[in-house]
Amino acid sequence: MKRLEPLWWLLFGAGGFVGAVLLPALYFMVAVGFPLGWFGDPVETFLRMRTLFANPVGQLVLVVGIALPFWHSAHHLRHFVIELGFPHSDRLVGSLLYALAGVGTLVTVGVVGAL
Amino acid sequence: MGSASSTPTLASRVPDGWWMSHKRYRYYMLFAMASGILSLGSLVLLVAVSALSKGSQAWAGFLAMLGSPAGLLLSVVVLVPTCFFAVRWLRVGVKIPQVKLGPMPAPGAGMLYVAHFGLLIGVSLLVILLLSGVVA
Repeated sequence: MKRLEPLWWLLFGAGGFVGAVLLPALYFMVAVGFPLGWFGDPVETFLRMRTLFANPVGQLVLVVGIALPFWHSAHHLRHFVIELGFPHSDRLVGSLLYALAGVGTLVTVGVVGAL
Repeated sequence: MGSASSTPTLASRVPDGWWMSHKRYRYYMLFAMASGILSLGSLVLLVAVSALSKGSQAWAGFLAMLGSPAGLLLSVVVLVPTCFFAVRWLRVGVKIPQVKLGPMPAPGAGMLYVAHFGLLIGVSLLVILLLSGVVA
């Protein structure tokens, strides 16, 4: 795990960037604006979302926007645990968190690929 | 100084509850927790994409679930820390030492603030305009 430290930091930075720049508006629209009907009824939003995302470019945006924050969270939470005073658990906690991020990424690719 | 001692010693340990001792530390820990909540947002989006792939009925069901009081509470729980994270992340990015590349002077903090938050506002507007159907 230590040997891959540059990779974890790269994914952490990329995930933080995506989480900061893309996620707030995307989440607001999908989880607040659409359910409250501010941007059309469910059939309209369904067709619009399919048009925007059921293509290779849209799918790439979704995979990047959904999966990278998993890696950011994993790396940040790993260091959060160290900073709380548990440096000796780093190997276990880090492996577990990165494994979860990896599973999350695979599931994301599968779900987005089915669009 | 002599050669390094081979006597094994315990790793240094931070005092218990250190992060409660200063406002800046508490703020930092909130930032770390907010970055964990990003994944919760990603999970909700993943469920949204799954519903989208299953058809309009599943999509309508997903929207009805998120439009319920519990769903809206979940959105607040995700959205507030996500916005806090975004502002904090972009502010921290300005403080990273700037690298001078080539003959151009390194950008100042003011320019970086404008670039970072301009990007956030620009991308957010683009997402809202595209998803709302204003821009087809």
